[in-house]
Amino acid sequence: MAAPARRIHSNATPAKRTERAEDTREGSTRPALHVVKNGRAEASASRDRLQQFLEWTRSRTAPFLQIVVSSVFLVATLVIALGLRTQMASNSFESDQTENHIEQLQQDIQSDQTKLDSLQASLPQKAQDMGMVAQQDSVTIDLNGYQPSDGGK
Amino acid sequence: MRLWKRLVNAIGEFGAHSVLVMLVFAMVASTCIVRLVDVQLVNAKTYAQAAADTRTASVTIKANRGKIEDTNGTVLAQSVERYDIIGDAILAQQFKPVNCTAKKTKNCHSINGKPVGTTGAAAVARLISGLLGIDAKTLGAQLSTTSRYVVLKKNVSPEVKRKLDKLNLGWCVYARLSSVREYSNGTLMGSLLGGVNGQNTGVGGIEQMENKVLTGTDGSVTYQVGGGGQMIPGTQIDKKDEVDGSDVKLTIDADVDWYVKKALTDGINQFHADWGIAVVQDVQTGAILALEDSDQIEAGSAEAMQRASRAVAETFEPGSVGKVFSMAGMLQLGLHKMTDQFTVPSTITVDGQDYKDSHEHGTSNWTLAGILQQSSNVGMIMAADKYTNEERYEFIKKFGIGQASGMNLPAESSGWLTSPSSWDGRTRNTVLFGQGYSTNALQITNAIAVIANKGVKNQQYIIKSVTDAEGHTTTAKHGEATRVVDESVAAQMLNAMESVGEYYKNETGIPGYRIAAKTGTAQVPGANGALTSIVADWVGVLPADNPRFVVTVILKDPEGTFGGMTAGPVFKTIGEFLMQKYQVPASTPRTDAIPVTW
Repeated sequence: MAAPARRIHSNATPAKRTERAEDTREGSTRPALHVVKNGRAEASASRDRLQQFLEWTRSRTAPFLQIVVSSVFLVATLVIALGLRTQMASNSFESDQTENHIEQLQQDIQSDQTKLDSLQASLPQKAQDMGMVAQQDSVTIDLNGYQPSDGGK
Repeated sequence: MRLWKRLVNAIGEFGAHSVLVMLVFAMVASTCIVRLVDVQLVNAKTYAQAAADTRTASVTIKANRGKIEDTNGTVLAQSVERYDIIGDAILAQQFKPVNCTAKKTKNCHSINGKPVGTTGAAAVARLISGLLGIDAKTLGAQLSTTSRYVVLKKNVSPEVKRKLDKLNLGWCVYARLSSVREYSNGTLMGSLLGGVNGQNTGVGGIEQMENKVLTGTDGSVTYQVGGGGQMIPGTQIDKKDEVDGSDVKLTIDADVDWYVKKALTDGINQFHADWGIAVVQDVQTGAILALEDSDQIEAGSAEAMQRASRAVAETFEPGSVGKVFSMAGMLQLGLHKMTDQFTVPSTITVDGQDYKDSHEHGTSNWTLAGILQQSSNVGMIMAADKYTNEERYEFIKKFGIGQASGMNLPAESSGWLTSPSSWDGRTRNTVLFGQGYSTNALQITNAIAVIANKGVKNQQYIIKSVTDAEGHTTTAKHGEATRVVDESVAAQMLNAMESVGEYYKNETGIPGYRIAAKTGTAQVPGANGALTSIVADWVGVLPADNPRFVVTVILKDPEGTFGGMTAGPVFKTIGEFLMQKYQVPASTPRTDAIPVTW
């Protein structure tokens, strides 16, 4: 499939316009040779497509198309890499903001919890200040010698 | 010049100039190649390492110190995040505020909507003065130095730090994360909890004792930084997570401890005592439920770190409480029964030494139980005529007197108990009634708990459990329980002690509950070193029919002198609270009292 190109480059002197055109035609009319995998079970569809694409680019006689495709691929790769990089930075920034927010909330929780613990600890003192007194005597009922009344039967 | 002319002749002037330019280019290219070889091959590793070092930053992630909680999970001590506010004086002096206008409302500076009115350190000081609560002149002076690191205020709250961030002074005033230890209960258990120093290391009390467990392991994160010091996304090289310290749960019940402190403080005021100590111990487990003294020391303060709790550090002669240990020894050895009868005078002379009871009385017919009830020194000496010095020592020691409590509390004093070989003719008899050796409040509490716990001495403990950062709880290990006297001996002693409780029922009786107790009064050195001071103590078991708690109350120099009259009423107040709080069933009437007289 690369035969026409080799022929063009192997010429010591530039070919005439007509000759070159004939060569190009000849190259384009000759079917490109390629390995037919005979549809083996393990070949995936995407791989086939990539293979077809590569073969299509190689079947072109002019290297211009290959250069264009390569350039487009290169630019696309750069743009995608730039996009990914930007997205990463954006995600990192958001993540940093979220972490800061979580940290703030944790500090708030910690602060409120400390206040609550302190208030809980001061409860007995506040109860005492309000005049509340712990019960001192046990309440007992002495049933010794208890006689149920008739009405209780 | 000749070479140049020959060259011009050979290839013309243009050619010669071209060669000259080519030579210059060749030299530059050679230099570049040499440098390239140096950078890429010869010193490649060094330069790569230097570059990596320049853009790599490693930041320590501080681990939080664990909490200290009471037995119910109430937080007693915890670490909270705070910030130290740092100023760069050099940059502060270059500060020029940007006035806020209707159009420019962000990244500008104003004080209550008005322009700052000045520049440099004075402007920075004016802007942050209100927020930090520090006089602007003081701050201005601090920022007028040549220091690039001036600590303006320590331990400010996150709220203040956030407000500071909004002042747009980040380039000359910034915050550094720190932490502070907060104690919820103020003076409650102040010196028992201790505190932490600037390095977050426990100093004094539980903080020191459990420092290893409470301290976490710091983590770190290593990443590459940009020119402004910010992390380059996706460049984290290494991260080691921090491990927070474990939480320590005490056996102390903060509610009980609060009430004990209140009762103690009221008792101190009522009897005008110098100081007081109170301990509440669970009889069946040996857990300490309350450990208080009358000192009003804020937990975490410098005083709390320097001064140990009196409850563990103060030692004193137990006085007549010591009769319990000697009498139990006599019963255990079979030298006497509790019903043995004695005719006890008010004084006695042995080996030329005179001994007398605390109060004068006529010659009395008391049983051994009666001797304990009346707290007769003379009776104890009479009963101990066949009780050898070694036996006297052995039983005092077996009850844990003069021995470390095993709780490993910092600054705990073991008291002292000398060997019988060093006893003189008087000491061998005074040890029978609690003089000639000393103890601390924890020891004497556990010694009486032996009687309440059917003759078995439990290991006291104050650490209930430890919960690590992942939530795994480990119950603290305690020492083995040991039998000191037989169950029957303990029962007889408890019975006799209940007669003591009944004797003082007007002062210490708790309606509905039977109590067993022993009171003591001992002379101790006063401020001048002479035996001019008094320590009055009361150790009670309640309820006597099914012992749940041992409560010890000790007062120094109370008005009223005797333990039963001073420490006893404080015990009563604490006892009433305990019975109500733990909903202890009322006692059954006493039917098996051992006679105290004959």
